[in-house]
Amino acid sequence: MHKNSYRIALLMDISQNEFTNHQISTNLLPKIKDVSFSNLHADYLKAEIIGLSIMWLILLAAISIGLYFGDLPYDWIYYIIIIVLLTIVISSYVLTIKGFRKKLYALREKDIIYKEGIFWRTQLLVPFNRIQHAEVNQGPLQRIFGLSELKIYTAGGSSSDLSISGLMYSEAQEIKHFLLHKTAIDEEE
Amino acid sequence: MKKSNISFIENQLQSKWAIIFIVLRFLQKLIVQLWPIFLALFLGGSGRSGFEKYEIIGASVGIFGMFTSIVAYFRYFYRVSHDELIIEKGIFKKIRLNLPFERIQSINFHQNFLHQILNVTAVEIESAGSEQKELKIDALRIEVAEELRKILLEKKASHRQPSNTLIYETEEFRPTTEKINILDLNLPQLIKVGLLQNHLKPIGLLFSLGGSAFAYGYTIGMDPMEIINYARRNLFNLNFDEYALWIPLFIPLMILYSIVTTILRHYNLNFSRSGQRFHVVQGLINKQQFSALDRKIQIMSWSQNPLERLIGLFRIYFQQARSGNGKEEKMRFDIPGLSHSDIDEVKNHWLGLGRGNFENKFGVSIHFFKRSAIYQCLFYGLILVLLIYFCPLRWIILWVIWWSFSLFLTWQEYKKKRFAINANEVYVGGGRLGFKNSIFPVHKIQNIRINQNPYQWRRGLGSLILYTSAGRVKIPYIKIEKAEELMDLLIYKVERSKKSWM
Repeated sequence: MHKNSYRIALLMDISQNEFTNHQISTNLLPKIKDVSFSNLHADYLKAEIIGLSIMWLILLAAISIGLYFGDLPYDWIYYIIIIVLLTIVISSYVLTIKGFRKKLYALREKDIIYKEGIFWRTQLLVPFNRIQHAEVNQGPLQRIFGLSELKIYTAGGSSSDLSISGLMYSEAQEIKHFLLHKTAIDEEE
Repeated sequence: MKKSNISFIENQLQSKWAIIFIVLRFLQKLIVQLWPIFLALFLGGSGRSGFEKYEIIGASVGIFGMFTSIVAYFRYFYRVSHDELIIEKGIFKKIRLNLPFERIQSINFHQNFLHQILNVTAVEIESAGSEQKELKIDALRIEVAEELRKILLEKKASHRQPSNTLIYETEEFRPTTEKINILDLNLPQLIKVGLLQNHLKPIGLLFSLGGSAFAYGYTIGMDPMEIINYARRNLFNLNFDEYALWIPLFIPLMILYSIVTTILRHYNLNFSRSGQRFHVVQGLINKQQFSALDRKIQIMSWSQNPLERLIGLFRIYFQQARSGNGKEEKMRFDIPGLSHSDIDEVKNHWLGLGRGNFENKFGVSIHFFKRSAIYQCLFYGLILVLLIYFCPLRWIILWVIWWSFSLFLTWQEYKKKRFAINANEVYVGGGRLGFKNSIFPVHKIQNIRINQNPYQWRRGLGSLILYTSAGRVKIPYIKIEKAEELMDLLIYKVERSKKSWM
């Protein structure tokens, strides 16, 4: 009985506000579970990997120069450093690739949902009627691939703002226009 | 002197005393930015040659400050046109601020000690929307301020809202609605409230004061080792029993501190309601007078600490939507010393009669306790190993007691965590020794997040986070299916609701 109390609450809400009396349950609500999510554009993974490689090239170059001129007392310390570094580099690539597959988004009639995370998973849902404004950004690497980042702001504070990188520029623009158009209609009503 | 027949149509200057407040603000800014220099001059200046140089620089800065303050005063005007409040200011560049009446949210008076002596008040006008800044007038004579508020509220009431700004609920602004008193606290009641506060607060304050004193000492060139040695000689050389001796001496001091701060903050507290808003008047040295609009309040909470529980008094908190550069302190405020029926009354005022009741409340998963307990045991265990090696038995026993207490608190937190949802509102409650309940209408939700850490997703759990424009509310460690179901339900309500969140 306890489990059903919010269903009862929903029932009450629907019956109070619309004066209908059909039997209803949360099963009839649109479900997050049933939403089919889309992956980000495949080029985004390429851009991520290139970005990561550039970062590692610079870092590894700096580290090897340091090791070459630095004077370590034992040889085995070199081997440990190399093994640790290799592990970190390889796992960073694995995590990027795996993480890419976990980054999913879905657009519904009245809201937008974004999921991400391998270990720390999160999904954020932003209803259109709470959007304050939206913007599309493009970094230098993203521009090469024609990608962009869509940012959606609500009044819920910066930790609740939604940001999806790895959308095609045209797609991001389309979504943005769709959102803003939706918001405008909602306000007119 | 003209009394109450000021029409505010023409440009008005502030009270002459405003110059003092402008000068003080200038000095405050100066000190905040240059305090290390002042401190260094003050501490080590006397022995230095060329000290007159500093005096000359100081004097010229002072004269410059005085001069600009006076100019600033004579260049600051306010007036009321037919549809907006206009403020013009600026010494070199003229700045004009317009605040249309329909955007005015509330008009608050603020009096610090000096204001009270001079019989003037600062006026702060809060506005709706994020781009418009809050307006502040430094000092007006009280009669003038009252008159200005009356005129602004009247004009706002008679001013019809243009149809395209109907982003707010349809409630009407009625300044003439009669005032309902909810709570008055006199001095004996305030002392009682002060006695019920968390008396351990000053300990944290002492630590942070000690820390910053240390940092200051360091920045002005005192030898940190000397400070540490001094502290060690005088504090850490005491043995265990000598520490114990100090405790009874501190307790009355801490209680006194709580009482004094309570009285200073809440002196002559009056908590009332009229129209669609709550009003608060309070304060001894800093007198505050402000109001909170229903639609701007996003979350209402009420709490009891163990001491308050004995007497049956509650404290109530309001979290208001942040606007532009709103200061955090004003966005949330709290009122102590309320009874259970007062809480119900406030709830009825804010949500509507009979709203905000919840039949069944749900708890969270036992893993909420388990995970925290695992982390605590790792941390406390590690320190325990160190203590066993380096410290006498007494400290070890104390540490184990503290460890058990901390586990007990976590257990209490798990036991008390509750959440519920009814047709219109969300409830989340919890606490360790005391409790704090929060409640807010579903349509105040901005967006919803579900988080899962590795511990959670391996066990099919998740945390549901509801964001409002005044902060977030978390329902931790519930079954992921339930979290998703709640997300579906709440988002359905948010998307279906025609009510505006502000």
